[in-house]
Amino acid sequence: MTVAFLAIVFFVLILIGAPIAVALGGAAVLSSIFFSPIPTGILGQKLLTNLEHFTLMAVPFFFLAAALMENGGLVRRLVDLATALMGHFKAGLGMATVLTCIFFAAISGSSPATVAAVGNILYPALLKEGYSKKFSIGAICTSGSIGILLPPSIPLILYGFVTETSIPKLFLAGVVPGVIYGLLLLFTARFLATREGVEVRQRAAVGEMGRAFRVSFPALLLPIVIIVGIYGFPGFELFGMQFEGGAIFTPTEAALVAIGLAVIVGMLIYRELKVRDVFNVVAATVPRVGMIFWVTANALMFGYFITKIGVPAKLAQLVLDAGLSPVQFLLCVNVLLVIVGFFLEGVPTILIFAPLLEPAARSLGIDPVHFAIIMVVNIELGLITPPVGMNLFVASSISGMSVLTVFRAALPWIAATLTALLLVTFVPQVSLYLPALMK
Amino acid sequence: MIRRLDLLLCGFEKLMMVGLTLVGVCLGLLQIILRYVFNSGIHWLESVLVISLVWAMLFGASRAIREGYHPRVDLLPMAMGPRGRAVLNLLAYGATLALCLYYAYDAIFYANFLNMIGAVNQETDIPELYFFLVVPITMVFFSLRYVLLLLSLGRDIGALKPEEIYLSKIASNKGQGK
Amino acid sequence: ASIANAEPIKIVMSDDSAKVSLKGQTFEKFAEEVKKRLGDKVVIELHHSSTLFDQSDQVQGLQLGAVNFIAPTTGTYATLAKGMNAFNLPFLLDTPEKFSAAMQDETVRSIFVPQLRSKNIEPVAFWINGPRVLGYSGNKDVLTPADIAGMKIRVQSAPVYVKTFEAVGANPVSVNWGEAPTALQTGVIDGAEVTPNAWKGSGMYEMINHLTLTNHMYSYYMVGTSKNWWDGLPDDVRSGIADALKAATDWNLENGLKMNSDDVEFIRQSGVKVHSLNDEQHAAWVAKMKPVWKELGEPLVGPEVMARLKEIAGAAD
Ligand code: NA
Ligand code: NA
Repeated sequence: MTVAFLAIVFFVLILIGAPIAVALGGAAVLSSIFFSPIPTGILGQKLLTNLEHFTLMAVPFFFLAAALMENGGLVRRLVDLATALMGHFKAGLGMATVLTCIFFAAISGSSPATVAAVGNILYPALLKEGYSKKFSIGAICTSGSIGILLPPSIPLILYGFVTETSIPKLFLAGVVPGVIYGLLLLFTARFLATREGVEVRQRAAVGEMGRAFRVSFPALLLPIVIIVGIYGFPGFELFGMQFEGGAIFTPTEAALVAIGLAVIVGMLIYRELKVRDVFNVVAATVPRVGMIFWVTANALMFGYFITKIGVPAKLAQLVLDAGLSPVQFLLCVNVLLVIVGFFLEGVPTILIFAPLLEPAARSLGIDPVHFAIIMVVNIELGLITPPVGMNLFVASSISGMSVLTVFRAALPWIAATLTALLLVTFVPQVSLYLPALMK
Repeated sequence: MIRRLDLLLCGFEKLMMVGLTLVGVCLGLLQIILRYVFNSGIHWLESVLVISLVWAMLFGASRAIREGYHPRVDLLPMAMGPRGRAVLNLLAYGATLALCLYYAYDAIFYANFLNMIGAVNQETDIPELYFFLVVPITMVFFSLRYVLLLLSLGRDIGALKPEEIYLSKIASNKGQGK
Repeated sequence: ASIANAEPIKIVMSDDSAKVSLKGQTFEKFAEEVKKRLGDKVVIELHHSSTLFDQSDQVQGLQLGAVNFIAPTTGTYATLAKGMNAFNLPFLLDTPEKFSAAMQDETVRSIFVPQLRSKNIEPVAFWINGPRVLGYSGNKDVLTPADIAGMKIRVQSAPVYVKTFEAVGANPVSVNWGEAPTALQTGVIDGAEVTPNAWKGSGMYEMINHLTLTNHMYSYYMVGTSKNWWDGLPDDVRSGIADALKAATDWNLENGLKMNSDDVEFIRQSGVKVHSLNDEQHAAWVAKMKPVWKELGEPLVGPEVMARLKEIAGAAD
């Protein structure tokens, strides 16, 4: 009864167009008022305690780091490097687009941020090089989604946060699927560009490549510092001194260091970032993260309420009693998440479904880390499916095309996403190989 | 009037967002430098970092109302005419305002309770009340923002993107120098 | 009205640790004993693993009546009764006997019982958690304070833990418990100081190769209930719960000691080198850490109570 009421209020609020945070919080509050009273003051208290966690601070830090990189001219130089490396190949700039997305994905925790940062620079460049609008926007819109599969990743941070799974493990788990997905996209780019018959650019001179590398080197430092900082380096000996290997930072600290480096490189080396810009970047970024915090606080409120009335345990029991095999369960989850992906963004999807589905998955013996990657690839798909798809929205604003036109342009690329999804779902080793090495 | 209140809210939000985010980032960097370079640390740094950022992000969430960043599913509103949309918008934004007011009430009650029992944060020796104040304050901000939005919409309540109407009205008022 | 037809009383318990832990098991025992005594008169809701309230918000949840029983470590209540931090001074109440004696002492009780009661909290029982022991990875044995110099040790962020490890020249780092396994695994910290049960339960024993039984503090849980709720219970229900609590507390003491030593053995079996301190080494740790009493003890509880605590501990400055 309570559960039915909760679900109805939630869906009605979603349908009439209330903010998703309000649907979550409102459903919990209204149900508690009618069926399971919570003493006054507890909800107010929860709004703060839901957010007061050091791990969650990685979200604003990675957002800021990415925004500062873009404003400090770091992204542009990464694009130049990718172009110099790939420009002379058949479908070179198309593949360079994918490669740039991979570079940027390794600092940005958000796919829409990747689309925005890379797309603004590469979309005009692709058109100039003779690629069709359709190809260009499809490439950017889809490749950008890799931002949340390669570490760092905001959805993975939130998944780790709500299910208490190790975040470095989750990050590592995304690497192999991310690289495979990247290769699939490179292949798609080549295939589509060849069909379009785009002309090949002249091979960049060795000197030019060297220059591009030198210029972009400080920008390349950021992904390197983040990856090495979180996962560490092998131990070594230098001048008789023994250096121990091992990671240096927690993910949250790595994001802080990335901010520091982005400011130093942007201000002192590239000299494109002024103190004023830093203030502006912060003022422009915080409301977007504030939105995520607000959804998080309400999702956890929703979570508090469903825990109180015992829903996740019952759901896990239901899945067990239904006698689903792990494969059947994962198929159901995929269908569910694809449908959810039409309407919901990544952050609310993780916050609503991870606490519900993860216990059920675990009871079937599915590794929570594997399950997280399945969820994230589904979210990537959701980013490019209408009517609600953040990548579609960003790509549409970059290109001035309608959301549906962008979606049609992205369709051939979605084949790569679906292949990645199937692979990740049914071959757990793809996700679990690297985390297993971490000991 | 609406414009003046909007300016006031914007100013305060921006101050909190930028000031406290920078405080958080600087404390975080300081902690890393202390820990890895000087092999020392300040034990209250982390909790102050966290609370500054939470404050900044909640004020950011208030600002996000103005900019229309809070995600919602507008399928049904899109499928409807302006009249139907007007009803849906009234319901949706009415429900949102109601929730914010309820949260504000609950948070004020809790703030009062914290004040009464005098709980003191262990790491910083600062009363928990001061940390918590962000919730009642921002809930009042949220409520004000939604009231402003509803008021400014007026006849345009059937808009598909109410926040855009609000922003354009605020901008057009500017010219008249009210 | 007949009692038989009355609505059952709902008892909500919130546990901030896992079901399999010593505290989780004690809570299960408590719930079972209540059920045994009161049957259909009560409905028990027991939530483990901080799913309802976590370490930071459970005390307020209790005061407001959203939960009826919690059992955080004694230091958690220090937000309301500052003096309770003194129970964690190093090598002061470092055995269950000393702690139990202190909790029955009127002078000692005067620093927290009235404060808590006035804030709607009734202390109803104390459960043991275990001795804090030092686990670390590295290639040297830590046997004396000199060995720990410069090591990055994860501590809780309250001043008493920080000062204690500063006193031996270590570098106390307050990583929160959730991030501690990652921090240890990746070398952000060299070691941590928690109970054997916590080393095992968190899986963190797999990330260390040494465990030194410093036993520098003994950690206890205080079971708290909401005073208004407790006083308002029908007499038979209250005494039934009190009896059940007594049974659970006895079970906790008996099994807690055994569980902690079993856990040390388990950790040893898994390949971690376990070091016990001889008297001389023990004395060296005491000598280094004891100045913290003077620095924190008297300002926290005043000279009179501090003197009484020392008397119970059988120790001079
Ligand atoms: Na990323
Ligand atoms: Na979608």
